[in-house]
Amino acid sequence: MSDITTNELLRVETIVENLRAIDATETGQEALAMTQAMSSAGEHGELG
Amino acid sequence: MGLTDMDHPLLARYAEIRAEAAEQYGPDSQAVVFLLYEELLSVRAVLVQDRSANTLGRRVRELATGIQQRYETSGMVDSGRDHWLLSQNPVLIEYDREVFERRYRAALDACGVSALHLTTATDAFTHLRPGCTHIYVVDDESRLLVWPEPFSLAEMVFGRAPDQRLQGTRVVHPMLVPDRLRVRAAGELVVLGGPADCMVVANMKSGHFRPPPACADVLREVLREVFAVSDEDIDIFTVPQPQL
Repeated sequence: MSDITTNELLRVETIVENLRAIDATETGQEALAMTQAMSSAGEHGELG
Repeated sequence: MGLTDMDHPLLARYAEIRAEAAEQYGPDSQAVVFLLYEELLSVRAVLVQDRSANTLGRRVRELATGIQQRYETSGMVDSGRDHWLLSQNPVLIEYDREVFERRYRAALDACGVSALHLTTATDAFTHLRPGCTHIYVVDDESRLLVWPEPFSLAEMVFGRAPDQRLQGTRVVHPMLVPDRLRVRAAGELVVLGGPADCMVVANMKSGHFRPPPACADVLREVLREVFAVSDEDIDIFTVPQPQL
């Protein structure tokens, strides 16, 4: 297996850990379950 | 018997966690879309080092189609309020000066960072973090301007959910063009590989400018010039315009 594939497999595990951390936050599950909204209506949640 | 996608360990692992996310959050959830996007970045990162990997080349095309389809069916929540189209062809969008000064000027001045004007791939790989998401604009002079600090997964997720903020300054696209507040394209960008051989994945996600799909042509032309890449090494995802 190439080094870059190994690195990307490690990165996948980091992504999994990050998703778990988001899920554990107060509104994380709701955010992850939302459909892919391109922008929210709220001023403070507005996408860049 | 030929090699299948599932024989590649990276594709197999992504398939596994995507199935888990689909079960937990729903097949159309942004968790699943983020995983598809991350898989595209991973596959391109490997492919740029081994362009003979046909399985990965095929998977890039599948992922690009799947991601764009999901973007098409999600769309904008609303049409936005503080920007307007100055020109249709070529596209030129302007953000409201009064709103910018009131809402973002102090944060921009306080953070002490400004957008970088990238003119070559070497520039990009000197200042950006490969594989990570940066926000960009193409300004009214067709310059590629990129915010040097990458966004985290949490910022990307919560940036899309109402009433959720991370601590600290939130960087938004108008902060990349504070002088004239005008863009021809805006969104997120990831560079992969290195200055001698690279690939770029970008989208048109900007809640402040809401770039129409036509902006993809502008961005593609700029990316070809800056990175010296062909179209097959560029993914650009467009966002449908809101239903008014």
